[in-house]
Amino acid sequence: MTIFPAALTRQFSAAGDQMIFMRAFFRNIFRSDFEWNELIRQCYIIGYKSLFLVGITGFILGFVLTLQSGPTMKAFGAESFVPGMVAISVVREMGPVIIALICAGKISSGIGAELGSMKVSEQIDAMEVSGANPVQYLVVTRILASTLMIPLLTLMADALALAGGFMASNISKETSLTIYFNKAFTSLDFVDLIPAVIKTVFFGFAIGFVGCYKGYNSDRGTESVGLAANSAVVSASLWIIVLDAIAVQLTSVFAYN
Amino acid sequence: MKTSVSQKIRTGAFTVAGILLFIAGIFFIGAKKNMFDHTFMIYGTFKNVGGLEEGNNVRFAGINAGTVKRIQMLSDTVIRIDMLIKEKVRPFLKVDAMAVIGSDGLMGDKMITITPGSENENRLMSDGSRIITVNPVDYDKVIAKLTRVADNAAVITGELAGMAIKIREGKGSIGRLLYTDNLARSVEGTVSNAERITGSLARIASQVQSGKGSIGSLVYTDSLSQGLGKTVNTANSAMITIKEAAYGFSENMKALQGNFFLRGYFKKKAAEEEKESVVHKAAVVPEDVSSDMEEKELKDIIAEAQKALDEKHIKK
Repeated sequence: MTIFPAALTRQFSAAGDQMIFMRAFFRNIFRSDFEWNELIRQCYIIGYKSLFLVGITGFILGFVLTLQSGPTMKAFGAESFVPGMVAISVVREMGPVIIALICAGKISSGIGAELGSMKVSEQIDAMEVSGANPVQYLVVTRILASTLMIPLLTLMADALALAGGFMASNISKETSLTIYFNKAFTSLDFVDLIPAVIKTVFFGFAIGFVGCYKGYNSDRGTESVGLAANSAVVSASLWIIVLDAIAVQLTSVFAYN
Repeated sequence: MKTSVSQKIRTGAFTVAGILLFIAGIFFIGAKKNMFDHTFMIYGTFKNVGGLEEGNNVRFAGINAGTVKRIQMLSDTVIRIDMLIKEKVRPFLKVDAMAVIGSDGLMGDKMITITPGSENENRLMSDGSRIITVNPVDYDKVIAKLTRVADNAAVITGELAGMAIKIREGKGSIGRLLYTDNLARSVEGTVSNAERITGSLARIASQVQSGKGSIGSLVYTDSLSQGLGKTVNTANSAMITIKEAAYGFSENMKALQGNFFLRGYFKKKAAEEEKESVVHKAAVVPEDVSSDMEEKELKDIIAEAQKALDEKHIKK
């Protein structure tokens, strides 16, 4: 039936299956009777419930970056560049990637486990039978919520990382908030902020999509729920790293020069 | 599953907070790039912008006052730079302000520095006006110049080395001055002579002070004035003597006249008046004085002599 080796055939069929799933998702976005309530509930779960985890991560990220780079910068006599350096590294790279990975662990696994257990307990089949659209109700809301919430979470984490950096720079040397703020924002540019926000949208989409796909397509059987959650986290993290590499290439071609 | 109201509120607050953060970030970054300030445009032309880029800062009197908006090449030697300057700075930006391309520190970004205009200039820059520019230093030219300077320095140091060697050998005035002690010795001799001269001057002064010697006695004793007083006295007495002598002389002269030149005349007179005057003559005229003299004359002479004698006595 096929001219490809079996392993490659499996990969291709998986990729095609994902493309079909993605097409179903995009088709169901613009259908009538959109599940606004469910979207807001998912936004609450994905965004608001993750705020504490993301806030702690972002604050410590800025704090640690400042403390770690401080001595090295001091050796070069460039201590005054620390706020700018921390701001650029957090806004451009560390914030989006670290927060996306944290969310992959929390959200992707959660979605994967939830949809997987629904699949195992045949709730999804029951929805199909009763005429409800499970893709519209379960998948579209989750992916959209994730896509919308991850950028916001990242921005909050960036702000908290700057606060953490300010706190860390006050440990070694008294620094006023005004001068720290000025130094941080003088070194920032739109080419730091805008591409970073755009790439977090894609990270959010990847987190939601991988979680939904793995959960929605899990096998029947109790152990497949754990498998779906696990593979959702692994795939989402991998996708985040790959997307980040692509995003950096694109921004350095279009924005940085 | 129903969405509760509190869930909706929390989700809404979370979303609004995130969007506000995004807007704040954009605004703060934009504020640093003068995107939301009121600005006006000025331009200047340079031959060489030295790596300046669009978006670099423009500093006016050390304050970040704007950004480079556009760099445009008009010809191979004229590059036009448009600058966006904050409206706040406008009241201080006079038409004779000057723009220079500099850099922010050793490793910092390139930037344009505008130095303020002169004090008595009142015209201000307006939107689209051209600013006076000073072209940045061309380092190649500086290096070429410095190479020439270094060559000259090599020649000069060579000459100086030759001079130093000659001086070291004791040749020439400076060499002799530095490396032989002739001058020092003669100076030493002069000094000791001077010492001796001043010593003897001191001795003379002390002798003068103690009244020894002519000048000393002149200055510090009154013997001279005394002597002079004596001399004056002597001169006075000498004058009296001279007067006396003059009197005697005149007497003698009269006697002689009587004797030699007027003898005939007196004889005649005497002969005419002998009768009336014989008695008087015998009584008054002394024996040695010529009896031929007129009686009245003799009387005068006697009176005069008496007067002179009286004077002499008074003075004594």
